[in-house]
Amino acid sequence: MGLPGWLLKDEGYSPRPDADRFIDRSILSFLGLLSRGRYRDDASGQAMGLAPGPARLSPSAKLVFMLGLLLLVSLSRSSAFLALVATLLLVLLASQKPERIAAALKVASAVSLFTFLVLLPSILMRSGSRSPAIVAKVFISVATVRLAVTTNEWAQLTRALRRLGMSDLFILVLDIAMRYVHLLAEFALAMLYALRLRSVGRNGGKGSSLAGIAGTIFLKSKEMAEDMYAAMECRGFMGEYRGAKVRAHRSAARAWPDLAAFLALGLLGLAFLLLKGSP
Amino acid sequence: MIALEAVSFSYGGADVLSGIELSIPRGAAVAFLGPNGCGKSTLMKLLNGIVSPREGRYLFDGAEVSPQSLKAPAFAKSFHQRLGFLFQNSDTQLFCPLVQDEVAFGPRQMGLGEDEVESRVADCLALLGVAHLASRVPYHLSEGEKRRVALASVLALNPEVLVLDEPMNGLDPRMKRFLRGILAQLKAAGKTIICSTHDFAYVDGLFDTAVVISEEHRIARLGGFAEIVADEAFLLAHNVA
Ligand SMILES: Nc1ncnc2c1ncn2[C@@H]1O[C@H](COP(=O)(O)OP(=O)(O)OP(=O)(O)O)[C@@H](O)[C@H]1O
Ligand SMILES: [Mg+2]
Repeated sequence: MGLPGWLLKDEGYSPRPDADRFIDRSILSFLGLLSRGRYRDDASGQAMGLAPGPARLSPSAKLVFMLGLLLLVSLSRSSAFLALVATLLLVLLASQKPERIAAALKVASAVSLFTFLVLLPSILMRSGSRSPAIVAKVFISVATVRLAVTTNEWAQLTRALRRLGMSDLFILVLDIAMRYVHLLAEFALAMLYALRLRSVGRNGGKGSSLAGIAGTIFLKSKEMAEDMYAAMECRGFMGEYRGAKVRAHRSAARAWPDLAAFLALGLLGLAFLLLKGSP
Repeated sequence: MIALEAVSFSYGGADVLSGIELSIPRGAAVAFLGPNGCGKSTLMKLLNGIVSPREGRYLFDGAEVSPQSLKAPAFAKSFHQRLGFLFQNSDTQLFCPLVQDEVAFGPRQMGLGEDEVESRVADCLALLGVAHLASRVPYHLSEGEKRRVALASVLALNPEVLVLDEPMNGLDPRMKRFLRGILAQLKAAGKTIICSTHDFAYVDGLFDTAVVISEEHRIARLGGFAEIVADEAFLLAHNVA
């Protein structure tokens, strides 16, 4: 195929005068902060897309529902309300494919177990402490997020965020952070394999090798972030990101699951108010 | 078009580039050869204003490129539009959620209208034979696919000068021939091509000039590409063949 016509001409591009809003490398430290979380795509990473069929939530509705639920759960001081949400979550989970149930439960259990261990002293030493509720809240929140994330492609979720009016730059940063954490995780894994392959038999210095890996990851992440930022600048990024305009395309006929979700969220809000619980 | 005047650079320690004196006219095709670690990637970064000379000057179309001059958004934007850079590692160059966003990124930052952006994205994806990947996630692609998407996203800015850091690396033979064909077309269209490479097999007839950088980070030889590549003794002595 031949070169398209516009590629044959010189661009003659003169940038329009622009507000001098230049977010410098501080965006990278923000990335660093975000990347302390952990993100793993499912299986090959080609996340299991949104299953077709009318009885499915749109990504935006799912996101709103998820955030609303998280807010209510974190604010609630009533164990009855937590029990209600947990029941609802279990019902939702039960309607999913086994892999998704496993994925959601595995992560949520691991994180809650960790929280439990951290809070154990407080639970043992003070009767009537709120620590068990905290563990329950962690479990519910993580399982909810997991469920929302595994039933949508990440790309769909970011598009939903955009439709909800988040700034393009924020979404770009979030998106890069996710991918970047994933890349680093892969890189760390590769180094761990390399270490395992080279430590045949007994290896006294495993501890220091692990420290070495951590150090390399730190340097690697700095380098990657710098390179990526340079790549963005080379393509005209000046701290202000212009994304595509999103077109709304959703027929009214498919909107009823969304309405149902908002209704459910409203009911949960009501339950939250009714079940005040003891402080 | 591009002039380096006694440019030296270091990352803080010893010099990685030392006393580089070079001028590249518009429409030239220049290959940079040299052993690992001689500073090719660093030079490519310097040409793109990512790092700047510790000593000496870098002039692009008569204007000095320096951290100071790049602070002016209008200059930085037009400089980055006129000069496109394909990184050695495609992973860091692909940062958008979808391939189509990736290619649209540059044109959108230029402030082109959405129709124009879309037609450029379609053209570039088709030119590099990756139209079928438009709605894939860039970072799950194979190495060759990533390289082509990265090149598409650079071409979408329609740069006058293309700087490519080892573009043939990790590609299979057919993909190398394909890429060579694209570069030849771009050269014929009057674009300036600057390329670091270890690979002679797939670039014959593409470059008119070669610059060999020595292990001491200096220009060891600058001359006609065919003539230098034919000088086997010299290439062996400088660890490039
Ligand atoms: N960010 C950095 N910080 C410190 N030193 C660096 C950095 N990047 C590169 N170097 C050093 O600069 C020297 C030149 O590196 P460069 O990447 O330019 O080499 P190269 O010619 O591209 O090699 P290759 O053929 O392997 O790609 C090397 O010795 C390298 O260790
Ligand atoms: Mg290199």
